[in-house]
Amino acid sequence: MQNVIIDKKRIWVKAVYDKNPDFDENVDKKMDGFYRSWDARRSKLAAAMLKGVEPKIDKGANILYLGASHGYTCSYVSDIIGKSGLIYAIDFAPRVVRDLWFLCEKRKNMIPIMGDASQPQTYFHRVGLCDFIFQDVAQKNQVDIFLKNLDMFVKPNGLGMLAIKSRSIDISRKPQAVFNECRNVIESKTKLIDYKLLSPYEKDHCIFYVQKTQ
Amino acid sequence: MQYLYSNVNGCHVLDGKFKIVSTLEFKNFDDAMDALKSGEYTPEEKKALEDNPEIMLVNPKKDNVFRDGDKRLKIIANLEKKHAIAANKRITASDLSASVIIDHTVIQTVSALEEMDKIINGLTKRLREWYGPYFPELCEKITDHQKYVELSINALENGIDKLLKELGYEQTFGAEISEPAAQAILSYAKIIIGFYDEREVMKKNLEKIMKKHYPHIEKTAGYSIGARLIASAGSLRKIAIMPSSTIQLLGAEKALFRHLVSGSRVPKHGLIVNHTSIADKKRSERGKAARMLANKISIAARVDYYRVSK
Ligand SMILES: C[S@@+](CC[C@H](N)C(=O)[O-])C[C@H]1O[C@@H](n2cnc3c(N)ncnc32)[C@H](O)[C@@H]1O
Repeated sequence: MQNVIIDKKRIWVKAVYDKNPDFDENVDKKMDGFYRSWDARRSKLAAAMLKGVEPKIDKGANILYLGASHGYTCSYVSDIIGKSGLIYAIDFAPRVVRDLWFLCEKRKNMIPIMGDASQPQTYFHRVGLCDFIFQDVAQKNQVDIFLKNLDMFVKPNGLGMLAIKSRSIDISRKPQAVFNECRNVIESKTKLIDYKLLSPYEKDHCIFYVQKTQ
Repeated sequence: MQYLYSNVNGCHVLDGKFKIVSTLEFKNFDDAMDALKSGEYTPEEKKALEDNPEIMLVNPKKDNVFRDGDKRLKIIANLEKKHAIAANKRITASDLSASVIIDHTVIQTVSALEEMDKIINGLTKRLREWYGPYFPELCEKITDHQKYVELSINALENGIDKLLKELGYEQTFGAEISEPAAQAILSYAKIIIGFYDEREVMKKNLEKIMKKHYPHIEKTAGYSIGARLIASAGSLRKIAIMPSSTIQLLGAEKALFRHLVSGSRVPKHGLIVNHTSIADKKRSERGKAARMLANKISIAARVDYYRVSK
C-alpha cells in the first residue's frame, strides 16, 4: 500500500488531511511528508498488518467500516484512501457517533452513520457500492453480520476484513475452537486470502481477510 | 425492465442498464428517511409504483426483498459521493439528537447518585478526621454519616454541652477549639450537608420520572431498583426485549463472568436482590423469588416500552 511504512514492529501512515494528531499519536516528519504513528494495540487493522496481512486498500477506494467507534482506525484508513476515497463509518452507539461526527468534519472523506450493522436494510439507502469492508463489532453473530453486509454492499471480487473476538461469541469455549468454527462458515461463503491471530497485540482475537466470490 | 431505487438523494427510476432516467425528490426528507429506514414506502415510491406497476422495487421492504445481488450492486453504485456525504451528515445529526430520550436522564441520574455517594462518603470521613479531636465522643457514638454531619454543625453553632449529655457523658476529653478552627470546620460541614440535600432532591426527581415514564416498572420493582435496571441494561428498550433470565442477573455481570470462565457458583440474582420480595426471603427461597420478580419486571418493561413507542 502506498503511504504506509512498516518498519519492524512499528507502522506509520502518511497524513493526508493535516499533520495535527486526532488521537494524540506521534507525528514524524519524513522525507516526503508527515507520518502518523499507528498503535497496533488500539487498532486491529494495524495489528493484522504487523502480523503480515497485506490488505489491498487503494487510493480512492470506497470503504464500509462497521464498528467505527471513536474512529481511531477509520482515521488511518481515511489517510490511506486519500481525498478521492470514501468511508461509510457505522456504529450504533450515540456516544461514539458524536465523536465520529466531529472527526468527519475534518476528514471530508468520512461519513458518520448511526446504525445497527446487524440490520443493513436500515441503511441500505444511505450507502453506495463499496470496494472494501472492514468489520470490528464484537458481537455474538459477527460472522453473520459480516456476510450480510458483504453481500449487500461490496462489489463482486471486492475485499473484506473481519476481526473476531472469541469471547463475544462464546466466552466459555477455547478461542481456537471458536475461530475454527468461524473459519468454516467464512470459507464456505467467500474466498479466504489470509487468517491470523492478533496476539500479542490483542488477546483472543483473530482476523480474516477475504475476497467476495461473486 | 425498469427499476425503482431510493437513496438519500431521492427516489430514482432506472433503465435496464441501471442508469437513472428520472428522479423524484423527497417532499419531506426526514419522513422519507424514516420510512426507508423502517422498510415502509415513501409517498414518492408509492406514486412511482402507481405510474408503473411493473417496475422492480430495489429497496428492502417488509414484504419485498430484492434478490438479484449483481443487479442490486450495479444499482446502488448510483449513489454519488457528494450527495452521500451531505445527506448522511444531516440524517446522523437528527438521529443523534433524537437518541437523547428520557432513558438518558434516568441513566445519568443513577450514575450521578453513585458518584455523589462516593464523594459524600469521602467528605464526611474527612470531617471526622478534622473535627474528631475536638469532640471525640460524637465521632465515636454517631456512626451514621449524615447524622454525624448534622450534629457536628449543631455542636459548632450551639456548643457541645447539651449533646454531650445526650450521649451520656459528663465531660469531654476533646481539645479546646479556637474560633477560626470552628469557623473553618463549620463551613466545610455545611458544604457536606448541602450535598446530602441535593442528593435527596435528585432522588425525588428520579422517583417522579420513574412514576411518570415507567409506571409499570416503578410499581413492580420500585423506583430505585427500576432505575438501576435501566441504567445497567442501557435502555428501556433493551430490558423490553431481554429474556427475563437476563433481567434476573442484571448487575451481577462480574459474578456471571466468573462463573462462565472458572466455573464458580452461578449467581442467582443481580441488583433485584435488594427488592423486599427477595431480601426478606430465606436464602433457599431467593432463587425462586428472583425468577418470579424478573418475570414480572419483564412484562412491566414491555408494557412501558410499547405503550409509548407504538
Ligand atoms: C471494539 S470497538 C471498534 C474499535 C474500532 N474498530 C477501532 O479500531 O478504532 C467495537 C464497536 O462496535 C460497535 N458495535 C457493536 N455492535 C454493533 C452493531 N451491531 N452495529 C454497529 N456497531 C456496533 C460498538 O459500539 C463499538 O464502538
